[in-house]
Amino acid sequence: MDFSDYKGIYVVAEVRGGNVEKVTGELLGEARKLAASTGDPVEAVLIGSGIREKASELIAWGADIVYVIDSPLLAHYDGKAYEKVLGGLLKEKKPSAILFAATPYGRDLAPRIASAVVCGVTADVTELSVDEKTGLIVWSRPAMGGNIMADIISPLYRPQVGTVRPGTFDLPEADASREGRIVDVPADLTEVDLGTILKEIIPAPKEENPIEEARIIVAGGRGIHSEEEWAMLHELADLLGGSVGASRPICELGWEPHSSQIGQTGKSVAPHIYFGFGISGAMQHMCGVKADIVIAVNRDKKAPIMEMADYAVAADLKEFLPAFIAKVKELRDR
Amino acid sequence: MKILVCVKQVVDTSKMEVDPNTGRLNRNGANSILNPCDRNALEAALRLKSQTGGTVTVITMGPPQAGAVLLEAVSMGADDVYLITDRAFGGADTLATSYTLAAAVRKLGNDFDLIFCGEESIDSNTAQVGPEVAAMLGIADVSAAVDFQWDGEKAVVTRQVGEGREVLELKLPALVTASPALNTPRYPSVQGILRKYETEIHQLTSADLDVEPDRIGLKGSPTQVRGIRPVVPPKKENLKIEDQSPADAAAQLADALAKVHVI
Ligand SMILES: Cc1cc2nc3c(=O)[nH]c(=O)nc-3n(C[C@H](O)[C@H](O)[C@H](O)COP(=O)(O)OP(=O)(O)OC[C@H]3O[C@@H](n4cnc5c(N)ncnc54)[C@H](O)[C@@H]3O)c2cc1C
Ligand SMILES: Cc1cc2nc3c(=O)[nH]c(=O)nc-3n(C[C@H](O)[C@H](O)[C@H](O)COP(=O)(O)OP(=O)(O)OC[C@H]3O[C@@H](n4cnc5c(N)ncnc54)[C@H](O)[C@@H]3O)c2cc1C
Repeated sequence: MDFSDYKGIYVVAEVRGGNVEKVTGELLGEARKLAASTGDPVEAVLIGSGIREKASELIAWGADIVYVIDSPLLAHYDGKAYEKVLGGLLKEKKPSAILFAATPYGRDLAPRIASAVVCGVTADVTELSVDEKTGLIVWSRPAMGGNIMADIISPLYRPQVGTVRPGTFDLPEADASREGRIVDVPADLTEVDLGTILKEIIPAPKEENPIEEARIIVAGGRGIHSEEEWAMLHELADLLGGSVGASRPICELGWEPHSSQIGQTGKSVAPHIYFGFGISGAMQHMCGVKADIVIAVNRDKKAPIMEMADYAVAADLKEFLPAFIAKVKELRDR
Repeated sequence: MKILVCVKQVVDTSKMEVDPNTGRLNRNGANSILNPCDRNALEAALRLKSQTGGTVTVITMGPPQAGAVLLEAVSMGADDVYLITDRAFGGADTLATSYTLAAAVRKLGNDFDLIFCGEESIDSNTAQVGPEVAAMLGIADVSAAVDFQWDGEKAVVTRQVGEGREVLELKLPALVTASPALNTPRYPSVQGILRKYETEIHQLTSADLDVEPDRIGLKGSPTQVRGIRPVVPPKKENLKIEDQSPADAAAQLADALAKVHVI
């Protein structure tokens, strides 16, 4: 099969509330790395309403060309309308590969595009590489409940497509001096092309962050001695995009609802990362923790949890927590 | 209303583990079950039917034993069930699966007002089949619905996006994929369980569907699983920070975590 017409590693920008999400930068950074092996240009597609001025952000992150599809009808994500405008562009441009963000929008749009263009999509990719012999992109993803990694290729179809979860790849340094081209693409759309009508946007209350689904859990125990200190755990969890969990005594104190209790008489959790602050590591607690990485902070270096932890820090939380939060903020702002 | 539900038989992955010594996938005798959020899809369909009247048809593509999940759907209240089965459908990725399901929808009249799917399967969790089927049929869809209401005239669907929720009016015909938060699925009724024994599973093979041979099964699947490897749990880092001032300890931990992208 001759795919020599198919050129360019494309990134479809993730736009929410009129802003380009950070994951778009992560995808562009990764696209540049792939392009360095394949020799393709990196191109981005920006879809929305009144969005054109954001194109320069994509160039700063690594796009050589940005196609802008701007229309009031595209103000909110609509699978059917977005598929129509993006599918049309892609059929004309023939990219070699396309990266989408694995967000509620990207996970809906990428498969719709697959049907429209007739190509495959690898879902929720966590590793990307280029096969040296064939030049094919190898999309790797966890499957079977996270028990296996599958390496997926698309040798007989173009474009090669995948969705990538936010936070999987590093955000590249934005370079405002990078040069790139902005191309306006007319949106051939009418009201009839929309499948949905947005009625309302409801901000969800924080509690709807169930710990059993969290990728990061910031858990605390009796080593935290006041409600003021406890509030710091919430601050840290918000900073890290995680949820707060607790040992039983904390829930008995009423500092946290029972729905946040981890362990034998609480919930079993399987986050990527578990922080245990001032938790001794009793079996009745730890039996509910199945994390990839366990981080423990405790003033007693002999506490049982310190044996189980990947990162064990012996320190007094009263001073450790504010210092740690400040440091995390500093790293974030860089 | 004419309502369709797509269901999948899956391996109960919660029973499986990777053997830490051999790196092999240990099925621990894991059973085949009805994909959990397909129950939410069925529940939404059955509630809609009780409001509007009509029928709930359920389809699955899979080997003959996948008929078991169709009977489960009957015990919950489905009216009729179709097993799409043929060796030629084997090895399908999501695109070939969706192509075949869309062909079955056309075969069944292509006049469904609403199609419900699960958001994603628990064994390969791509969450792609729903939106792919919708696009092949040229209809609207909303993925991962957390709420669905029929107000007598309109379908109103809610999806979770980051911190917020979007409430959308959906133009019919349309497809909705059900997240586990959509509703609480009912248990099979006694009546339903009895009906299971009288229900005929209709079969559809490739000869019954208007499909191009190079769009189905392995041949029609753009994605190829080149290899599978066990996920080796990340090695214990074994970083100990002791005998430091709290501020130094905090800085050291933050730097170490930044290195592994936790921060
Ligand atoms: C039948 C049964 C069921 C149970 N179910 C559960 C359950 O579901 N979940 C659960 O969590 N527990 C459960 N428990 C209780 C469990 O046995 C432990 O008692 C409990 O987990 C201990 O909580 P903790 O780690 O917060 O407190 P502690 O064990 O008191 O540990 C506090 C830790 O904080 C450290 N510390 C103190 N001050 C500081 C400071 N200033 N700075 C740093 N570190 C400090 C201490 O060194 C200590 O290690 C159950 C018990 C029983 C009998
Ligand atoms: C390790 C591994 C990784 C894979 N990765 C990918 C990949 O990245 N991309 C890809 O395209 N394929 C992939 N596949 C193939 C894919 O698993 C199959 O095509 C599968 O039949 C459908 O995908 P799913 O289970 O992810 O469906 P999902 O899209 O997660 O399922 C959502 C819903 O669609 C409906 N549905 C799904 N399958 C059927 C069916 N057979 N009959 C009726 N309704 C159905 C159900 O309502 C279900 O709840 C992979 C397979 C394996 C073994």
